[in-house]
Amino acid sequence: MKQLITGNAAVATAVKLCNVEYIPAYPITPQTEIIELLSRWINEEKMDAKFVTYDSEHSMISAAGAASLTGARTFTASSSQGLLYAFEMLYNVSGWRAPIVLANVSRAVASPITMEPDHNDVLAARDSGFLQIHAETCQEVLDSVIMAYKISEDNRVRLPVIVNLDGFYLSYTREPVDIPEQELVSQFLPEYKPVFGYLNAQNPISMGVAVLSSNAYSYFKYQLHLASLNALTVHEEVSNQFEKLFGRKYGLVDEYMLDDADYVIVMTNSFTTMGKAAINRLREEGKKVGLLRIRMIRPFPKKVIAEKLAGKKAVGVIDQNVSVGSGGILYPEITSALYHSQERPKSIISFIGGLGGKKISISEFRHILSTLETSSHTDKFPVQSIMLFTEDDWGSVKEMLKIAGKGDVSGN
Amino acid sequence: MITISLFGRGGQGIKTASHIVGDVAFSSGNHVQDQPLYGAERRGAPISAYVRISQTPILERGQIANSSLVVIADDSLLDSSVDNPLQTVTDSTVIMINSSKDPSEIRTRHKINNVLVVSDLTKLTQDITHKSILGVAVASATCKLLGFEFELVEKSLKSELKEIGIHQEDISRNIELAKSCFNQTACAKIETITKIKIKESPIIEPIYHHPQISTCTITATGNSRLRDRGAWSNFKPVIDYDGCTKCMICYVYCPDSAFTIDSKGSPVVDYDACKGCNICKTECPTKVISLVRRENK
Repeated sequence: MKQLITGNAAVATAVKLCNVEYIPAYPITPQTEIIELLSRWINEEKMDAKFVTYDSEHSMISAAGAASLTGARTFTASSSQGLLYAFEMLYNVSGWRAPIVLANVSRAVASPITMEPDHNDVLAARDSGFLQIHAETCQEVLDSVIMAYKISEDNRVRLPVIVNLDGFYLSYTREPVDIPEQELVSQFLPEYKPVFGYLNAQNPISMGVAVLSSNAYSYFKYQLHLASLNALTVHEEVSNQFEKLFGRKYGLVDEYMLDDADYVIVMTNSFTTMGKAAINRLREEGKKVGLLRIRMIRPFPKKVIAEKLAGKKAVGVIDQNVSVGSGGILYPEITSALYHSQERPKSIISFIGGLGGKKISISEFRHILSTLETSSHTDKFPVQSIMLFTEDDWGSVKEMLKIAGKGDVSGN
Repeated sequence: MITISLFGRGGQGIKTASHIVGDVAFSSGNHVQDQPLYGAERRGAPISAYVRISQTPILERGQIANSSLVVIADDSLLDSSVDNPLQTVTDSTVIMINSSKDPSEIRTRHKINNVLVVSDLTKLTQDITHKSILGVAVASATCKLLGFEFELVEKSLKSELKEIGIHQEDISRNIELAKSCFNQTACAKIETITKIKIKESPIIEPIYHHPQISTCTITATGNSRLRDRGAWSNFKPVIDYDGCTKCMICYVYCPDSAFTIDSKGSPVVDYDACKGCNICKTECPTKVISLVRRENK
């Protein structure tokens, strides 16, 4: 049945459908609605789970990992500064091979403080061992949480998963969402019953132990990497099973008007919707342009990205983040995925846009396309990422600077 | 696609209004997307909400660029260049404003040439619900403008208000309010937006600025004066000095330091700073403070 619900409600609904047993929580805008809904449902006895509020995200993630290791299906959520505050424990929880699901509601990281999304929060966790699935719509959010448990609890993977949704643009945005029947979800995702490696008084085990040996450390750490890579295959299997039961199919990447496109824009998350609208508009103007959205960020689907972009004239990667001093975070990952391809595009150009939730306007999409066209006709390629920032954007910032007491700023 | 932008202040029920409009459009068989947008989650701070209604899947997100309908629940926002609720207006946009002011005065003052509906929803809301939360009135009038059926408005507001924990008695009053607003509003011809028209702006290459400029700091003093802080309130406290004992409780409790003490020791309200929070009225031990509606903010 389709209902009009927010991205936050989509997460909470999925958690309820997955019969999650333990939820450690700590509030942060724009994520709080998720844990508010869950605590309410538990209070109203619509959901049979234990809900505990913690003193910080650091404790919250520790509790999530520990609870998961007792064999409980565990969920938690955070955002922005909250995720960063939990950082040390992210690496521990993945090292413990605790199959938790964490919903991260993306919000740009301070300073300066803001509320709206970009991906410097979630991408900071890219090396932590958590898998990462980034969603475009509220429907995909709900479906991804359900799929995430299935992937996470698979013994070829057994790693925690972050499902990412953009603050405001998904978290508070209501869209029609098809809510699956409980029976079907239970059939897809049976009760979590670990048969090894969980805390049980009758069979005591030590967990989180020190190795103090570089050989052992290397072994265990590389096992994490192999487990994560296995998720590429497991995702495909899970995706096929999901499609059979629910009729919706998700790939590692999502393509839009890609087949005959000469130029491709690569994006992630909810701003892709605006990208698709821009592609429609540019197509109407006769431009052969398409879009590739990367849904699975960890493990990074190098092979499928290389296949999808092979033979294209030029590719523009929009990073909604900035690795200060380097540029877009995903750009080098995409270029390295293509380096050995015989048919790699002549130019792959890095763009930074949508920082702090700044809308990416049609002017910006046009600029990307014209830069790609120019670079494919000439041999000029920019060394640094290109910032998507318009004269009007600068005009409004100049106004603010003036009010803040900095006078008339010249330049630009 | 029909695009609706709603503007108001935190606590007025604008988010709820957008949900009711969204629900009604959705149960009428449309694709719908709705979203509130707010920076500071604070009572009285400006908030906006957007509803998109379409026959086909919606490929847009966030703020609306061109509105079919603009609904302004608080007319003080019209005077704020920062909030500028008219910025998404095109020639064909229908504008509805909740105000006790004369429509021709609003037209002249804000240079409005569009179809304009001015209605005192605050008065209607107060008369019927004895409160000044405008969400239901705004939603109901908006749904009528859009040509939806009242049954759907009633159904949605019941579930939305129940969801946010409103008591049955208040829900009944709100249904009565919704009915009056619905009946007194006329249907309007709302244009669909087929192609978004926005001013395109060239991309620039930002250059480095001195840290004095490029660090996020404020060096100007007293710039809160640039915003009319009193515009937040629909009501102002008025002191009956005959019964005032000069105990200064109001002065102490005021969260915005809007009270000063005059040479005779009596409290005086600075209405430019008062946000109408009601705390002084509640705390006054001799109950000599009453709240009066602000007509011309």
